[in-house]
Amino acid sequence: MSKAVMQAPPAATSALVPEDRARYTWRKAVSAFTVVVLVLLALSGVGILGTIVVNLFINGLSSINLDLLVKQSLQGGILNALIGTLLMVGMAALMAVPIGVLTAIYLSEYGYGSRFAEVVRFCLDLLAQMPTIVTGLFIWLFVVQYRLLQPIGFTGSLALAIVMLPIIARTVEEVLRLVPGMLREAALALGVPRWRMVISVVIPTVLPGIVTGVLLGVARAAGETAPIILVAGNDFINWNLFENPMGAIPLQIYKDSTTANFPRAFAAALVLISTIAMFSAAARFFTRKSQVEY
Amino acid sequence: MTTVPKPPAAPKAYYGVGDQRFLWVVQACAAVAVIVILAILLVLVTQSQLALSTYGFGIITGTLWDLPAQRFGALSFVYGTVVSSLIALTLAAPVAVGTAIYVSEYAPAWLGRPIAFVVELLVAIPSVVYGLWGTAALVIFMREVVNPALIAVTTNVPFLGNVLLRPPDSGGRNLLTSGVILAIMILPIIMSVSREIIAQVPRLHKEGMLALGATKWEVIRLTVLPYARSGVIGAALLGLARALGETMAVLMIGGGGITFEGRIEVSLFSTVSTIASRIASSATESVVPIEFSALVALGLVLMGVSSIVNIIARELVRRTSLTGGGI
Repeated sequence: MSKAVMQAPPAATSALVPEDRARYTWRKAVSAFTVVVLVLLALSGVGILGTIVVNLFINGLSSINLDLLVKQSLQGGILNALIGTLLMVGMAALMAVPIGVLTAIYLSEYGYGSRFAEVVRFCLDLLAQMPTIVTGLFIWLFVVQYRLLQPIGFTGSLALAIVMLPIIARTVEEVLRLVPGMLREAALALGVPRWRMVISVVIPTVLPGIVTGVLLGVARAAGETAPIILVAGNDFINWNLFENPMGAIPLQIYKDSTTANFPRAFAAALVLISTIAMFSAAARFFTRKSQVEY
Repeated sequence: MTTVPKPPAAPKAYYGVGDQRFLWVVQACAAVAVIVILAILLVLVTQSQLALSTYGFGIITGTLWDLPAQRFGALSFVYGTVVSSLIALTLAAPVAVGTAIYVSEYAPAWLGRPIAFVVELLVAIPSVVYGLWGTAALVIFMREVVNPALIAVTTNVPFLGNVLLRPPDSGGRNLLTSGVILAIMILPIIMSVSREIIAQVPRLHKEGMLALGATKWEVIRLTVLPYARSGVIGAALLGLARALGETMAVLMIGGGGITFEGRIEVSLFSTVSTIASRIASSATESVVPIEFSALVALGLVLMGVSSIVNIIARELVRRTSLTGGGI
């Protein structure tokens, strides 16, 4: 067997003395062994994650039905949670998207070599990684200690907006940086003021990329539980963001799994992860679209 | 690095009123992030004053969290946080890095690309969903299969059997299970960041090694790993930071609940609250000012620790990767 291996690269091996041959066989054996180890690691990693995905889908599909989607919590449905999530995330996006996009514009168009831009980037990084329970606690302090906010849907939106902001700002900044300097210079050379150049040249060029940032932010906020577990939560349908608490899908999943109402929890989880997966996939699609070539 | 050219040094008047106002607007928006961070710091520091001035470092080092006795020492939550995160890191890092190496160096494209795609989607799955799966499936699996096996194997091993894995098993909802679910949660993030890092290793380095007659493993050991080392460590630290701050999964699986006589239970089979899960379970219930203040102090500690771990991690990842490793 070792002979067959040796013959493979004849020019190289013909010069090998026997000790080298033994060594070469050993090195090949080590290499083969590590392949086995890596394959096993990959199999276990992919296997575990695959099991979870399949498990979630099977359980979700077996317990989801239309009835669930049109009834509210106490009647065994998730309608109120669905409405709550849509409204709270939508409101959060209304706040975070403009601020996030404008922050990104500042960072990429005006922030070159500026101290303030460095500080902003650092703060965005801190915000992006902050445990979301801290965000929730921060907002909750405004409710119970300062009494500036009420435990209503809008308060949940504020917490979610804080979660979304850094994701949108950093993603959009990355995309804005891909805009070729030539485009900017061409616009400036025509005598267009900088702000017009940003609005009518830079932004249209990277619109798909901005959509990506927004989608990623929304996908993240839709699944957040910790920041709203403190400020929201209601079993009834509530269309008004500014009065009374609201339900949310992640909150519903949490409650149902603590009370062992697993069918509804899995159905709600299926709704949540398919939405998030759709958003993430759409985000990838738009990223690909935004890769401008000149 | 950046493709943005330095703005031309034109006289101020050139920019005009419109530019000045636009700059104000975007600067104001950029300031929001700074203001939010400062506000969070300020609010947490002010609100934790009461507890910090009463107990000082005792908040972290005290072993008893007892409302009636007015003792608020969070060492058991700190222990839960640290140990569950370390379990998660130990279990997840080798598997994630191994998978990343396999996917980027060995797997054919038809296999590697779908895996990478699915893993990246998994990064986006919310922690409450992992918590749900853990409650419905993992807890039972650990209780019925893994824990009895562990107890059987380690029963006569000195430190393991009578300290770290001391029975009885608290019905599957315990520190060990929390560590395992955290490991599963951080698996995708470590995997996807390390894959991005490993993909940055210059092709020429690898081809150079191959041309010298190195085996596939030697190429990885001598070019890929040294080049990617700090980035991969950074990826693991990103996972660690995520595990430290994770709330929902531990809240659902740790079995901690709201008890007021939290003591240190060293055994991995005992129920657990982490700092984050304790804040989540108690903050809305708490009516006693000093207890609430102690919870805020814990929030401050959590924020500080996870920020430090994250800053180190990002620095390591950035040093290796031109694209920032997708973070």
